Amino acid sequence: MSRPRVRHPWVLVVAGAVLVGSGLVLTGTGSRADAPDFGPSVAAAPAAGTGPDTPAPSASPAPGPPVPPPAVLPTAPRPAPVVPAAPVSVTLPADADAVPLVPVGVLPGGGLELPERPTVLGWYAGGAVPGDAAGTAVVAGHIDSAVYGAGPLEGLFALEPGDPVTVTDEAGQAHAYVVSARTAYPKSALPPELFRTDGPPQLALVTCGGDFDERTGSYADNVVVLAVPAPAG
Amino acid sequence: MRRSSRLVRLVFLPVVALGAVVLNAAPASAAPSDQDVTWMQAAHQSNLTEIAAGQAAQQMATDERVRQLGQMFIQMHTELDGQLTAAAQQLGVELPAEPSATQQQQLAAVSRNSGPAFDRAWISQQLGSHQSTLAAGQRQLQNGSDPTALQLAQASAPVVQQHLDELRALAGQYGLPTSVDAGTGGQAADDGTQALGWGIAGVGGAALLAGTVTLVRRRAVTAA
Repeated sequence: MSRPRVRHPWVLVVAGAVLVGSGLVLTGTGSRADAPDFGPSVAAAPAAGTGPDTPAPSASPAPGPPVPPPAVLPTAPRPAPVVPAAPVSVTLPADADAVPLVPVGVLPGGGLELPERPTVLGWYAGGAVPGDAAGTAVVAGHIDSAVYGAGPLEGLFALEPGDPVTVTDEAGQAHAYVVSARTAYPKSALPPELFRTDGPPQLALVTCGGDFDERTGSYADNVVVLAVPAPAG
Repeated sequence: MRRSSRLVRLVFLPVVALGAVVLNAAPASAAPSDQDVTWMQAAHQSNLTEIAAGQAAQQMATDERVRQLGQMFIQMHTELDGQLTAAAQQLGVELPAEPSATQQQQLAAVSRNSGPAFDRAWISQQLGSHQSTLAAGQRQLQNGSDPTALQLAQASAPVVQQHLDELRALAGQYGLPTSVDAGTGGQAADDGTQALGWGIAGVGGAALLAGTVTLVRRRAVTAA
């Protein structure tokens, strides 16, 4: 008598079965790290200023992804020939707060140095400057950290073509970009073209994605979002 | 004849150029504009920053090229700052005594490193700060009005550009990045849906078990 009497055990059985089923389906759903690629990859970016006779920039150490036919990008508007100051922050559509940037270099093993916290991003200071008339300005950061949790670059997985990305420099000048492509590369096959200081002006936002290896504490892929200068006005 | 005309041109052209600067500027006797004052103060703080960074390099650099570049920055920014300070005094522009709070923070952040990490941080910070100094100088050349301040900006530009070129060349010797290792948490690979799924499946499993047990018991009671 002390035990509550279950009137309709069949309901419990059926509901339980449904919950187990739907729960298992959820565990198998793709993560944000599987956000689809769109737009031309870095390697496919038209190389303005390098003629067809110019030798290729240097063979990449690892075979990169196959180069698709030349992509038809909307001709990027020429930004005013003004020297940009060093970038200090970047604003992504997902969050109104600007994410601070610090200049970073290259680690002894060839890895791009990154700020420890995912809430601060690194600008590769040896490359192009956001707002430069040519070259790819690279901004990268940890997607998340075992110590500090997730960071704002999670927003890269939700970006759509045409979304605005703004870099603000030390002089307070805003450099407006629009998202043109997102590509996932196996970490070992990050295209060296990403760091070129010639070619069309663009911004590359780089973070990690793909499968997470608990043992090594790192991801399998790099996710690269490219953005081109926004049309003036 | 030909010689003398060339001589005339040599002497005359710079005068014309100088005249153009003066004509473009506001009346020479006017006080420097806000832009002129802002630039002179910022340029002074940049000089102080680069001199301090150069001194830090003398003490802490492990890369001889960083030490040499630091020495060059000390010398050349001291020179630039001497001219700037003299002009400011002449124009009655008050200059700050030290680098800005941000610049001091950046210098402190670089000096918190040691060994090769110091060299790396120093090059990166100097690339950024020279880039901003170059940008500020160009802004002054476009929007400034005082002829002395304009001449100073004109004279500084190639020096700062040269430093930037040297820094870029040195950064290049460290090689291009070949990888970006950008996450250690694992949250991106599992955005919470998986945990939610296991949770729901767990609740479902409990309900399934409870229902089945009740059914079995009821059968057992009926059978008895």
